[in-house]
Amino acid sequence: MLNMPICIEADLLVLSAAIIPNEDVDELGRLFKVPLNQDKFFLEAHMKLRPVDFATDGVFMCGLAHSPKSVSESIAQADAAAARAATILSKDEIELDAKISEIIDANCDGCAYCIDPCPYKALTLIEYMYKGSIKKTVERDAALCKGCGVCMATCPKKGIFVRGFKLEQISAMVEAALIGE
Amino acid sequence: MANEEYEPLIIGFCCNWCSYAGADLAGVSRLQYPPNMRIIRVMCSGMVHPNLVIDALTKGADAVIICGCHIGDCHYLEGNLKAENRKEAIELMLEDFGLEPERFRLEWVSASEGPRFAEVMREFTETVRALGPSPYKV
Repeated sequence: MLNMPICIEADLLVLSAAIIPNEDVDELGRLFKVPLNQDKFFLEAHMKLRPVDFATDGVFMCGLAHSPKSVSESIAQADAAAARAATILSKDEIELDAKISEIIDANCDGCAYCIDPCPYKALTLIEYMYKGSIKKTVERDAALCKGCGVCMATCPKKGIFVRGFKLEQISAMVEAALIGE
Repeated sequence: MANEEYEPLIIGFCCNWCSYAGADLAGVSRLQYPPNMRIIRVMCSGMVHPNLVIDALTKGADAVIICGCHIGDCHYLEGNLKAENRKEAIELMLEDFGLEPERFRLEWVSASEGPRFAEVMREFTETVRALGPSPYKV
């Protein structure tokens, strides 16, 4: 913070042993679809607002998998993780996030470009009969979609968008920013 | 246009989870950086359609920067990888529109990297200033 070296005269210098993450965390992260930070510790959904949650619903973390910490901190975090898990287990139904993708069936021609890039495998190609012919379109699983919008940026036909982040809405923001000059 | 009066206008798409928070941190840490960027919050760098970048550049922006989480840190697992894959396509489109590739940039800034955010903005603003105004600017 001071941007300069400081010197502290101490009688005793105690260094704690290094804590390094497990070697196979990459595989574990991929298995549960949860991210790691640069140091290969698990990354929470939000440092302050969702400290034991992952972006993936229903997966929680505590302890040294998250970062080096003391035993008392690990226990406190374990309590939090258990409490968070209980909030889901105690419910019969859960509400889904509103900011997820939405398909515009009229624009979608079933080219399926969006299906492979989806990180959550939330999209599937379907066919149905429409006015006597086969109409291809995609279907979004509302429980799997997290609203990242990769599909929206991939779609060449404006056939899919993320609620609250339509291309038109983002364009309007860009234009407003440009007009101000 | 007199060059000393030229102030570049940069549109920055920042992902909600890392770069937008990084920009916030730069702000609350009171770091100084040029006021030339207009930040637009998107949920993920992978959400930015190449057309948005081209649209911004042809409608008067001097440059566009997309900021996302570092590779591997993406909140949506791999949205930033998708953004990186599109970078080449965007650069090809810029060429078709007769724009310098330097007018578009993709950068990774994490939520904890306020100073890096300020540094990237400083450096990019200077690069764009040296390039001069966009040929599409009226």
